Amino acid sequence: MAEQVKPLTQSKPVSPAVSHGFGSYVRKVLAIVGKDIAAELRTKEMMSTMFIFSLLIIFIFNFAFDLRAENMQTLAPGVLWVAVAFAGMLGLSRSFILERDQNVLDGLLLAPVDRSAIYFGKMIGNVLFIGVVEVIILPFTEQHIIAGHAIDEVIARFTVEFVTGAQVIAGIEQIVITAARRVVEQLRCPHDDVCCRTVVVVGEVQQLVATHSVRAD
Amino acid sequence: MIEIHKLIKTFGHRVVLRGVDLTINEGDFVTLMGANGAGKTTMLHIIATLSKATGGEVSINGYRLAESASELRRFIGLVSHKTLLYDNLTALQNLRFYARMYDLPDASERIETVLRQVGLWGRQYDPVRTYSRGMQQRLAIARAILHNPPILLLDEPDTGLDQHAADMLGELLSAVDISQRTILMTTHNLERGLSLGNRVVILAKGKIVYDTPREDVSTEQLREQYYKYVTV
Repeated sequence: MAEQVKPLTQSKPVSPAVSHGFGSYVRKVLAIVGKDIAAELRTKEMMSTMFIFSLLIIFIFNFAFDLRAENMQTLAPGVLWVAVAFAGMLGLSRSFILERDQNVLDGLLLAPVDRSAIYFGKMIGNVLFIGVVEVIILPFTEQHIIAGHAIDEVIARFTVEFVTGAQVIAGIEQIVITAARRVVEQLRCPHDDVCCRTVVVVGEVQQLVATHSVRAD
Repeated sequence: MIEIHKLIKTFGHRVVLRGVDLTINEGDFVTLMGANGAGKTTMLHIIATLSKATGGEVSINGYRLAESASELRRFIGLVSHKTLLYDNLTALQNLRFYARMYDLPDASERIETVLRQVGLWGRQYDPVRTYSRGMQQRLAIARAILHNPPILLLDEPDTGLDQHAADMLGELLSAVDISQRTILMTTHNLERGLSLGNRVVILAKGKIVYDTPREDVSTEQLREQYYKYVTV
């Protein structure tokens, strides 16, 4: 038998005033990250797809190029970048399928949360997933570094490449930004001009970072 | 209180809402009826801040939606055709997530209350994908009332439900503390709409063409009016 709903507060809210604290913002970002991780731990669809896809790319490149030890120094970073970038795109699309299924994105957009929190929550989750895939596939492209080198040297090299890979991720995020801009500007977030600007500015900055990293290399 | 004044919505060259005027008082349960494509869902989405009006104005408790959309979302709960729930997460995980998004101070207590209310407390650890359609819709209602919104928007909540599940949904809606909420529900089921709501409104060709209190109309009269306006 259904029981009576207890109001959360003694009286109904009459004013739309809400708290906009930074702590609340961070909690919401983390809630989105936690939700994505929980969903992924339950299905393991995104990680397995990204991992298999990136392995497949390495496997194909192995046949396509002459990957002898002397060539590896030149070719391995490129193979790694391609594998991470494409696996990342695959992961991002799956990540948004999760939100489109059952119109959950509407549920997110109905919540009294700044749109940028949704963006950052999704971004952090995707960076984590891509980072894990990156860590797993690094040894497959960097055997030549591991062989005959001290462990601290290997870790140092891997750290540098991990950071470099993160810059690739910044480039990939442009896809998320495009999707977010489309959502925010065209349909979902017609009233939040500040939010629109935030997303656009973040997008532009990340585009600059990605471009700079490519030039630096 | 929801006030809609000369609401217009167009999609490209297609005009869906042509200056809708409607005032829904606090505590009202308004049933909105109309043919497919009449603009019912569009109107609900505009009130829910999910879509932008092309013209006109909507205000909630005196606050204009165009200016205070972000803050007003706290006052709105939406039950849609879709559940707005993550299929792969459990009922508890879903509600915990939404509780965090709404900054609920006593989340655990509130989650238990709404899950018991919709009769899903015993299934709280099961993934939503294992639920029947009726159970999913009950959980969707739990999600919508989790933050105790004074305004509840129900967009054909009985879609895809069998007769038994639809009856259960009706009973549930009757029990969900209606007196404290302003409810706007769209439906194609004239009998259910008339039995649940205290006011019936028909939307046709982008305008409100019929608006009457429940006590002033019988099912047969409503059916007559409905076919008068809805049929071409």
